Amino acid sequence: MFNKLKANYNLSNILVRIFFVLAVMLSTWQSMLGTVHFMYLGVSAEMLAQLNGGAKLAIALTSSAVLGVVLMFVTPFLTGLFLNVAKIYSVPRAEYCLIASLYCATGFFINGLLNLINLITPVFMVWGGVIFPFIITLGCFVSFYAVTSKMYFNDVTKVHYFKCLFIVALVVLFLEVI
Amino acid sequence: MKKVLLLIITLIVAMTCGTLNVAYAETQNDGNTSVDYKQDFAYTFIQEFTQKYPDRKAGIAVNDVWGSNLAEPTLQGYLRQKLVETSNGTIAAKDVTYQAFSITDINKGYNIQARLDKAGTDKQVIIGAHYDSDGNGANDNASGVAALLKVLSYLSKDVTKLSCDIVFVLFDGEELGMTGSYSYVGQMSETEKENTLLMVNMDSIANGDNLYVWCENKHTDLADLILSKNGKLTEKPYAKGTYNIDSGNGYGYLEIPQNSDQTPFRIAGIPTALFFSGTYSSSPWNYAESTDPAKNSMNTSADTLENMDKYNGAEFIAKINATADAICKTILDENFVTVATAQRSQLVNLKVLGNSWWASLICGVVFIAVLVFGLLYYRKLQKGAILGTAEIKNNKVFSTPDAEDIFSFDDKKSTDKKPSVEDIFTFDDKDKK
Repeated sequence: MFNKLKANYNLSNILVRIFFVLAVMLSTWQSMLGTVHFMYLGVSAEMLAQLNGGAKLAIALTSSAVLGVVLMFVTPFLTGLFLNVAKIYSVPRAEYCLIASLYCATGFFINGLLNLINLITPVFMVWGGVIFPFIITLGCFVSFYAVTSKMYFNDVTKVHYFKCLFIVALVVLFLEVI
Repeated sequence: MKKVLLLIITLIVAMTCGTLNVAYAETQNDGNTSVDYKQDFAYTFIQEFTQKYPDRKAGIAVNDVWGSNLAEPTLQGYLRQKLVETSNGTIAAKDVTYQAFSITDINKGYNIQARLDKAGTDKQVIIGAHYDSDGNGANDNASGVAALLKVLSYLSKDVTKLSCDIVFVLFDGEELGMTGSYSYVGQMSETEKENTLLMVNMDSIANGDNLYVWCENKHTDLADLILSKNGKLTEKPYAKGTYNIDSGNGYGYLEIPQNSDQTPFRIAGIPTALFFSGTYSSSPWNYAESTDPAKNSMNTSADTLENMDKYNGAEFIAKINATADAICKTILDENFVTVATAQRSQLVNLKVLGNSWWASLICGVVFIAVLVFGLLYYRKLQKGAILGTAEIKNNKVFSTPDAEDIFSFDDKKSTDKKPSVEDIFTFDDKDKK
């Protein structure tokens, strides 16, 4: 199956995009639920009172899906921007962006799975809210670098590639910490 | 034609019956409501309070608080008067103090405080309820203020029976994010915090499906003591983890069913007990009063005495009385000081579990480790690059046919052996021979 996917870029692209949106939904629905509550409270408490739990969840899921679609377009754009700024022209651009999207989606997906722990036990909710995204982001960057550096770069070009990706990773991780 | 007429008549009859049924139901509801509960202090207070001050948004009465020239007492002045009236002469008007705090650059909010002093002790219990509201606020939170006045009235009858000081605080600004109670705790000294045995908060205690008390998200002796004092009281089932965190407060859902004026006290490490009337729902952000959406009126214009009458009748007064009764009996219990003191040791440690700062610290340490490891790895890569291979890598995950494959009609092409360099450049014609 994987070989068939490798032979069909368009199908892979579509599947990755669908996976991306679903993963973002899984990752963000809990926080989106809180946001919906406060958003409605801010607009009108009477409107909030009329919303039942199911309606809130539906709005939260829809908002998560919209966020997922937006991020789905933003991620390849930012990846392309990274390649331009880093002046890396030797990689197949569309393929590289697709792999980046796949890693982002996997990160969101694992984060969503870990967030489900909050529904079972509250122990990690406060700590998990900080640690989970950090560890997942770090893991995604490391594995993304390991795979792409092996595929597209040799011992000489790898140095520049690592330097650029490392700077991006540090910025993202620093933002996660603060 | 007859069929059409029959249908119309049937429809008219059905609609009339429906209207009659509604009217009958309303009559039944009115008929069931007892007039006795309307004589109760709590009822008359809520009626008067919500009629005189139907809009009690925090900060609106800023200039009126000290307005001694006004004919009508202001909102805060009215409450001060009520505190004095219900204290059986133990609290004078001058002893009721205001504590100001800023809401905006212009507006201020005012907490109102009165104290029943027990000679010879530094220990105190704080009993609080917020008086500001969104909308008419009969349930949220005129009901809590009414219960507070009842507790004051009862406990002030014989101050010698008290085992510690009782501080009554009417908070402002709860609907703006507990600004009044945060300000109150912010102005408490460390000694005062240490000496506070318990903070009791009453918020929206009249209109919900159940009346419950919440101390901690686990079994505690204090909760048991309070629950044993009144059969109407229940304990909300402990949260299994479906409450979302209030990250702004750094305060996990572990310990609170919902944010209210007890929250700042609990964050400061003071044991708290929240009285609330609502569902047992543990859905995130669900502080609903009832499973029937029509009865949910908190923070809306439907939060009126008329609606509480309509939906709950005498029941809502019974809940207010049960709350006041449980609080009075708990405080007067001979074991109260011992149990309340021990409650501190039973609190979940918010300093570690409820504080995301520690998690951020761990991430910070990992971040520095990654930085160091990354720099070392970069050095290693640089060294490797000098002696390493510089082969061109043009690997691709996705295979694409090259032009030759597309335009070639020769099926055997792939199996044909390509001529080697030797074949091309050899001048030896042995092969031909």
